[in-house]
Amino acid sequence: MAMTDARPWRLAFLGLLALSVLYPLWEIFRISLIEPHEVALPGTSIWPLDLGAYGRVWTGVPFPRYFFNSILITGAVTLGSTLTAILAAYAFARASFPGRDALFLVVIGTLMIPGHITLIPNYLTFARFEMLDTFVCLILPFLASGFSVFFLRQHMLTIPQSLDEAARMDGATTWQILWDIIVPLSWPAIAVVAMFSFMGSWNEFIWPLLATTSEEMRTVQIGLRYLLRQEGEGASPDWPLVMAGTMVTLLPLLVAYMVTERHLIRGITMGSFR
Amino acid sequence: MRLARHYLFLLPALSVLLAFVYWPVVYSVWLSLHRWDWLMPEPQFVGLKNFTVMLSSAQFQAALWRTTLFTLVTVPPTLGLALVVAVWVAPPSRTNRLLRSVYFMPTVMSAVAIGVVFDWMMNTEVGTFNRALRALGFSGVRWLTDPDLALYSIALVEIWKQFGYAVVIYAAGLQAIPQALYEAARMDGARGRRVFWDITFPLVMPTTYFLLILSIINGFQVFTFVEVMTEGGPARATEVILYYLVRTGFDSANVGLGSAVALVLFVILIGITLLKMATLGRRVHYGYD
Repeated sequence: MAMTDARPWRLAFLGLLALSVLYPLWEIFRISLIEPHEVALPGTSIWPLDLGAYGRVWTGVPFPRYFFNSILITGAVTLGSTLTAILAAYAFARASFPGRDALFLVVIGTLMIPGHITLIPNYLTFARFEMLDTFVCLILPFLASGFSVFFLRQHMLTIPQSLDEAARMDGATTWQILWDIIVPLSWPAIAVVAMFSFMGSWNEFIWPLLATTSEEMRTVQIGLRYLLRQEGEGASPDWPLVMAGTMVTLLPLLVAYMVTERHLIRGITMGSFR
Repeated sequence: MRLARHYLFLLPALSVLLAFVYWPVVYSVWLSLHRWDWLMPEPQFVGLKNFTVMLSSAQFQAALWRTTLFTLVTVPPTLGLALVVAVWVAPPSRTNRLLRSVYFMPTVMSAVAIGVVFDWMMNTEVGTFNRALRALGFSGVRWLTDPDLALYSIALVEIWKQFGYAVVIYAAGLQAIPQALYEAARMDGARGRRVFWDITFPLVMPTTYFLLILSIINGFQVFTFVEVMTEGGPARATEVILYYLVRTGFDSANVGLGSAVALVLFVILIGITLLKMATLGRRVHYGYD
């Protein structure tokens, strides 16, 4: 698409659009650095920086606890779902056994099933085992992902079979071939899949909202939601505190995004042409 | 023995998916045929009563309509804006790469965080939007507390979050269009809009189709913005279908009715997905075949 003449108004429009994406981020940053009474005043300068809101997020409300929960849950889900996907993708890509294609359909069939249908049944299942409001119920349902299995399998199919055969001649077992050949050659795809799980798990909202009842089991997302407004309460929020909480909630993802952006976007565009 | 090992590799992933994705679908069907709340020790079979109650409920109908309206006002502007922008930022260059990655940022951000910051910016008294309006001499707007406006305000946030994803997908779709077609068109004297409507638009149709289905499915499952910004209010003006599901199934603990709602939404979304698969199977018509 040769759009040779980059007309100035076009660039201005694109720039304005970029600013409208960045502006809310600036607002989060700005409000988190002013004092609560300054919020209602027009044109408040962030100078001198007031870090009080960050102090209150860290000591006044149980945000460190939410943060710890989120890290634990996200770490377990990312690691676990990537591992289960590596194992399943390897079997689907390399082995032939009765029922393989049917089972693969079962796996990718989950991509069609909208998440909302699982809410009530999973809630009841965990309630029956008295495991609501535990780490188990916040982690276990996310330990496998149809997309991850599918994505890794597609990648593993592109690795030449001759590499496996050569290794097998040298006496390598199936297990060794997986970890010494397939996994090292799949790193870019594994990184994409891990990043997706990380994003999905860190940002997960509706399940932890429903499945946690005690304050100490909340994740950062749930903590932030209640920081803004206690349910059914009309009181004006402490905006600097809320924005400091938002900043803390966003930061891990924005950092991860900046580091992996190129791979992530490639993964997402690949995923869309399935 | 060797054969058994293959199944062992699949076991962890498959058991999680069967227990927490497939079983819930089956369980939902069963639950939707029963009356059950926290006070009742045993679920009681009621046939299709939950469905008749649901379908005749004004609240359900209103929620379904609101969700449809929300999808209608978010999806076309998102895709239209994204396609125009994508045409401009698809050619590889440093500026374009930067622009694309800025537009994409909201896709990775948590919906709660986005809801929070827009709740601030749309605040009637101190919010940024109204401050800007007042500075320009207009009076402020009750973005999230006016029942006639709140759903559209949330739609605006949804567009803000989704359009960057569509830009990136469109850009990939555009890059797949053979350059030769553009060169041929130029030799024939075609310019600007003509090139867009005769080449770009029809050839990027498969991408449009993919994005359309995906956005409709996302739109029908909108929940987080509503929960964070309006809690379904004011006066139920933003109570979308998923919010209604949570209110009946969890807050009122009417598990049967909640499951019936979940199933109806499930059938709608699966229907849209199957429609996509059926039509994509026949390939998308380019208009030039």
